[in-house]
Amino acid sequence: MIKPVLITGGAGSVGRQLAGMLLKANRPVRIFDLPFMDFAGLEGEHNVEVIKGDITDKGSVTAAVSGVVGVLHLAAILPPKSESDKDLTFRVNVDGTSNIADAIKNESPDASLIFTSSISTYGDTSDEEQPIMADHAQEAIDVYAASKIAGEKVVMSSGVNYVILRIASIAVPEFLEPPDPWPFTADQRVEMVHRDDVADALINAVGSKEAFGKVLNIAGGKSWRLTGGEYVEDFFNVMGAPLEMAVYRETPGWNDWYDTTESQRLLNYQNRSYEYYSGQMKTLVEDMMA
Amino acid sequence: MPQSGQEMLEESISCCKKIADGLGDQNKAWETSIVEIIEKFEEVSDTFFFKTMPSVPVTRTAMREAVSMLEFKDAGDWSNFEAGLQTMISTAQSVIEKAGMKGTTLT
Repeated sequence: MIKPVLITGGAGSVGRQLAGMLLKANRPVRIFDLPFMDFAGLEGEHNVEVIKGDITDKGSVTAAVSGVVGVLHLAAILPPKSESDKDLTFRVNVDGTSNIADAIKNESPDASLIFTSSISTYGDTSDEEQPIMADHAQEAIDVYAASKIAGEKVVMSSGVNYVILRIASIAVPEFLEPPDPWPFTADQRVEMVHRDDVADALINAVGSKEAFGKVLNIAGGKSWRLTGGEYVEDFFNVMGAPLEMAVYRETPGWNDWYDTTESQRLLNYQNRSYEYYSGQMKTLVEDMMA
Repeated sequence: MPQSGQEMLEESISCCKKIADGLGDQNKAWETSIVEIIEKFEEVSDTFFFKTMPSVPVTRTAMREAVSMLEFKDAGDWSNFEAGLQTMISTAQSVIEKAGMKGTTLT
């Protein structure tokens, strides 16, 4: 019998995408998320097991982790909520991660823990030489990044088979409200990553024994290396919106260009170029105009 | 003539306000529907969607329908008004749904 892959925070949009990819590959999944989430399309589906609980509750985490082959740990408090509630953010992003690691050790010691961290943990690197390597020092400039740095430490000292993925800003090929302000200056180096490439990286990390014990930058690759201004100008042009509306950070944020040589070698996920993403966005807008 | 989605939404709101004015004397339910459309349009009017090209087709439709409704009202053509109101409610629903864009995902 094939053991399931557990997806924490699995009822969200990324979790559902990962579940769909695993199911397509005939791999059973276990979804773990807060009881008030919408589990429609997951509950009762073939090869899908749903466990409702909270990662801050050790009991429900133990039940969720028991018998799994790997854990895709997505559950986290994200910005902007993370910035207004530090206690909750650390309880979920750090203590919750500790609960997951403990449960793996006790219940499924051979399972892998794929921890979703962030390139925001490097802080402002705009004055440094690019690309930013995975062994670069970390320096949080917000609560979310601080919680991810602490979460990484928990994972690294846990003794479980882990892969830490420091994920860049995700470009979603949908018609979405832009951030206000954009989390970078117009002149800053920015390397985003396509949402589906992130999904590929996460899925591929579960079974990649060579990646165990590694910290990897996950970003789009050379075609995604732009300045903040170039990315935003393209976005506004596709949307047909006036560029004067764009509001940037006044000081550099945590975006940069990243070294992804090793992550690409191990996880083979950079399958969608920036040009491909731009084409998707143009098609989306054309469909809406039709 | 209004050109952008934002301008056409504002024109739609302006027309709807004229339609709502005194409409309750003719039919209270119609007035309630129009006032609800105005409130919803005003609620979403600041969203990014109305600054974009994809907002143009749907706001153009909403504006044209509002202009027609105002003409029906001014002419006392209540049978066409009633039919037009149902179409306008449906268009307004579409405008509101499209304006309800989700935020960009950033980690």
